[in-house]
Amino acid sequence: MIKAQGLGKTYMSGGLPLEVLKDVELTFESGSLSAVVGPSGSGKTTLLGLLAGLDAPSAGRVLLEDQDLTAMSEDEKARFRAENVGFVFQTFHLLASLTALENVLVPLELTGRAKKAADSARALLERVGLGGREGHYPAQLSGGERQRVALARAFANQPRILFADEPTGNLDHETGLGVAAMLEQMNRESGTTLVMVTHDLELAERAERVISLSGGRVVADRAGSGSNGASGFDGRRSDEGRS
Amino acid sequence: MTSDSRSRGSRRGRRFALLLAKREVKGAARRVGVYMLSTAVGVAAIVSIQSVRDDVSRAITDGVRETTGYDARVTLRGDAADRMTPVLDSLRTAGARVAAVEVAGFGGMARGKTGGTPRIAMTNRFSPGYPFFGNVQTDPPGLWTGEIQPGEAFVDRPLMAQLGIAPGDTIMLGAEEYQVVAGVSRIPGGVAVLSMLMPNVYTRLDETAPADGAPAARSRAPEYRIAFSDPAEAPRFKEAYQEEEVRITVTEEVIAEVQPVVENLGELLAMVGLVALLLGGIGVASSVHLYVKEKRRSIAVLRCLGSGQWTAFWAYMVQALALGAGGAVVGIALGFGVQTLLGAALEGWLPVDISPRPSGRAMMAGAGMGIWVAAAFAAFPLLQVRGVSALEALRRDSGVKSSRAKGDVWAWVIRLLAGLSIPAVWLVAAPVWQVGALFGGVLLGTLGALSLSGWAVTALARRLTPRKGWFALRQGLSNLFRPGNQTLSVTITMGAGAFVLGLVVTMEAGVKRVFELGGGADLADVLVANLEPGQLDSIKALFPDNTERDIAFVQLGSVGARVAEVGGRPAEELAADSGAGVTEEAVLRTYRISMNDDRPPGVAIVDGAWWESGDSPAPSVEPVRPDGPDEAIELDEASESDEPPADIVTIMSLDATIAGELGAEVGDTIIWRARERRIVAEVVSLQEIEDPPGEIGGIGNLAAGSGAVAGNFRPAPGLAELGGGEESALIDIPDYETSMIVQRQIASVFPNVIIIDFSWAMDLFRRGMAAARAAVTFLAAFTALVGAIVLVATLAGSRRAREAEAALLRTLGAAKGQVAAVLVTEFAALGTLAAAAGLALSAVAAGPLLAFGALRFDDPEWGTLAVVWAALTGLSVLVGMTGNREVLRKPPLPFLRRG
Repeated sequence: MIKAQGLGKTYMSGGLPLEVLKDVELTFESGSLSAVVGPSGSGKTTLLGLLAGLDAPSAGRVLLEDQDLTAMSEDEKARFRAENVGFVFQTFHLLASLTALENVLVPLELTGRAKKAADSARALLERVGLGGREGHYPAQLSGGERQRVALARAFANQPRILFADEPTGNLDHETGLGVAAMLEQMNRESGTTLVMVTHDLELAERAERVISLSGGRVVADRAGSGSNGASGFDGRRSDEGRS
Repeated sequence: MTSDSRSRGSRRGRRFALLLAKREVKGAARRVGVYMLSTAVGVAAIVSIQSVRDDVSRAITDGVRETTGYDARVTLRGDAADRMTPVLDSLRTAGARVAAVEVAGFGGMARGKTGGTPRIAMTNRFSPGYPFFGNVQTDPPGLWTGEIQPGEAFVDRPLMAQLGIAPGDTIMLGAEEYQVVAGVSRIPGGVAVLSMLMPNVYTRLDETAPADGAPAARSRAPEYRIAFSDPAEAPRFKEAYQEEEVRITVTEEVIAEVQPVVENLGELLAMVGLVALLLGGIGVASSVHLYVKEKRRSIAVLRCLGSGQWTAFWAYMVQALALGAGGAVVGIALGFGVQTLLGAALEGWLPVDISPRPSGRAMMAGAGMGIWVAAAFAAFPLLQVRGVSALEALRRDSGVKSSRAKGDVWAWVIRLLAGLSIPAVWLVAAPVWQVGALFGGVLLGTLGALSLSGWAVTALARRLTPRKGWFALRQGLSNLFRPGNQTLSVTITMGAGAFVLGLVVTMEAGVKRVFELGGGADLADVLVANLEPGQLDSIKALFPDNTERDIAFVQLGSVGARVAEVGGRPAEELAADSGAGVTEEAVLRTYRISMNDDRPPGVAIVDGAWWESGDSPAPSVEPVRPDGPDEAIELDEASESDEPPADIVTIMSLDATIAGELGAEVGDTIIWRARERRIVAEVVSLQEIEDPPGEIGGIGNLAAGSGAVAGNFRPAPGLAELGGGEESALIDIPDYETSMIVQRQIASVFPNVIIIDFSWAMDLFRRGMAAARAAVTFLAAFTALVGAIVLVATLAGSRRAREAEAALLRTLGAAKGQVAAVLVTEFAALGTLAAAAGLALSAVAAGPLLAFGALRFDDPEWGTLAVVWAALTGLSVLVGMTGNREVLRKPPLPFLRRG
């Protein structure tokens, strides 16, 4: 479970304070699938960064699985992420000097589990349809393939929480749908809490919950179509495997 | 389109280019800083080196009068005095200052009035006003007013120490009595060997006879020293009046001896300064390349909005030129600052006063070079601007090239001009074009080799990075082949910097060796001669703590001998058949040959080797016995035995010049005759007496006594007895004050011992050596600074990628320590490989390059190079980690959002 309590973030811009997130109160239940939407500059990515401990809030706190993230040091937060959190980014963020398999193994390397988990990393690549491409470098993969490698990496350490920042933002519609479906399916299979930031309202609607931000405030928090198990990101029912 | 509308468009384009350039510069402080620094440091190196060289040259030219004390020295023989007196009078009338200087011969005795042992001293009598130039340093200071009063004397401090007298005491020169005003520790003109061999006393010389008709106090014909109102008159005076009985020495001859040494070193330094500027150019190119890469999207947008290809190019070229000019101005200021600092630092080291003065030539060169470096090195990356497609505004990797990019004639013209300008400026700026060509060729080869190394590192890192092991190590190494990485450019720039540093280190060692040939650190300060057998041990016993004072003794002894046979050919035959360089005079003259176990200071072996303690003293020839009594013994002593004495068998090191005159080589056996004995000696090495500044080289052999110095025998049974029972020794003393104590003690305990003090000349020599090394060390520091700036500029090229990767690792759960370890591994690997490549290449190239500077090169300085290697690796890590410190300090989100 993720809890944001009175969360706020202020940046200094041109010598003046700029409040990009104000008094946000949110709770994400374990295993839930939530989408955060809003116009550019509404504070979506800032919220995601604060929830994941990638940035420090100016006000309030974040509880991840009952642990106060804001009270942790940078290294403690990093350790927490290595063991509990996965990420998917709009621009993939793969390490260009590592092969697909090595990229998937990075979170495991950081926790010293790479030796035991090499097979499961290969299985994950198989799972995302990239079996046989383990030795390819990011530059040798298409955008959709890179994002699938990123998906495999995100699930490599079996995270309890997954943050996705515009996971289909750099992909064409068709490829984006495929990646979204894969993300949703893997999430349901592993029972991970997924928080996804997106501009794509169609994609957001298929989440269980849709949170709208505007001017740094939560202006709407409602159920999405995914809440009744009516549809997944690929338009098919896919509630099997949910715990 | 009409020509009018084209012209208006062109004007608008130029205006827009200027406006854009102005706005862009305002918004890119970091780039401006790196860019200007790259240019400025290179320019500063050029300006400061050239200025300091001008300063030193001027100081030598101006300061030589201060060193000698005169413009011309006239020595008269025979009845030349009568002929020259009117000439000297006419010079006085024309405004020149003429002084008579009377230097007494060897052997004058001086003693304190209260008693004590007399010591040998030279008496120097000066006309009032002499020396004309330079300072006389006295103790107590400031007592030399330019005119010695009758009845007063100034005395060299070593002599005062030996006599145990102080200022105010009376000194006796023969029967004459003088009151000592002060001790003298330095006086112009004291650099000649003769004036150093004996301690001096300075008294007044009145040229004119006293009014009472008594003869002037003159014991021998004086020399005359002249100061012309224009020193350029000196050589003309010499040309007009030099003849057999009139010997004229002018200070210009001293300059001619010293100046080439400064010029040689200056040329080498100037070349390395050019390399520093070239490195700065690489920094400029790297910085511009990075900038263009970052600005591609903006340029594409400008193209979308209607900007022409040349408009964008010129907008950035104008920036490059403006920043280059700014960098040149900063560089000139910095260079002058360094010149002033270096001048101040050298002032205490050099025998002449250096007054730092802005050199117009150096400033013009610096300004021109700065702007040229900015333009030429920016041109290549800036031409990419013309290839940016407007489509890139819509999609970064548009895959569309400008239709004009490939067949663009003007772009090729610019490339050609910029490319050709580099070797052209290089050759023009080089002091001697041959040296420039050699340096340029070596540098070009080095850059090629470094490019290959960089490529090899990238390729090998990809193949050889271990798949298992410590994550940080593997990740750091794998970063070496990150696409778009700077591995190649860092290897080239850092390797080039390492190459130059390696050369400078080797050059510094070369300078050191040149001086060490003259005896270097073990050059002795004091000679004690006329020692009776066993007396040296007694002297040594006076200084039981000599290890603490670092006083070292080198024992000397010599034999007088003539040549009897060379390589089996009798002397008479050789003298009669003096072909192939063999001279009759050389065969028949008397030689002095020292006896030494250890190589004396100032002796350099040019062929063969000095003997080791385990070497056999016997030559590989059968000793022979003479058939009858020796007829050609100079130091003949009647033999008391009818039986001819046995031969003395030994080995020797022979003077190379004399070897040539005798037709002898290493491996030949020479039979010498001394007293009634034959010395059978195999020549195992040839030697040269090195003359470091001040004509003091080879003082060990010089002190051997009268006669031509032929070299050294290895001591052998019976040889010492031929030396007449007298010995001498050189004493190396660490400082002047200790030298005074040592001399005083020796003189008081051993009155018979002759003490000759070389302290001042040694001091001069050591200062010169220190100054040369200081200049080279300064250059090394400068090169390191340029290298560091270029490294910053180059590493900045991939800083964004590294930050994004590091932020990602942090996001995925890497601790700061893990990310830091990855970065350290990468920078250490980059640094160590690039530095190793550059230093290895410098070791290969050092020999031929140093030979051009007349510097000696034996082996690469592996120890120092290893230190430089480690330092460069450390620098790479330091620069890299400093550039990426933000990603370790700050949360990862801002970096992820930027990427």
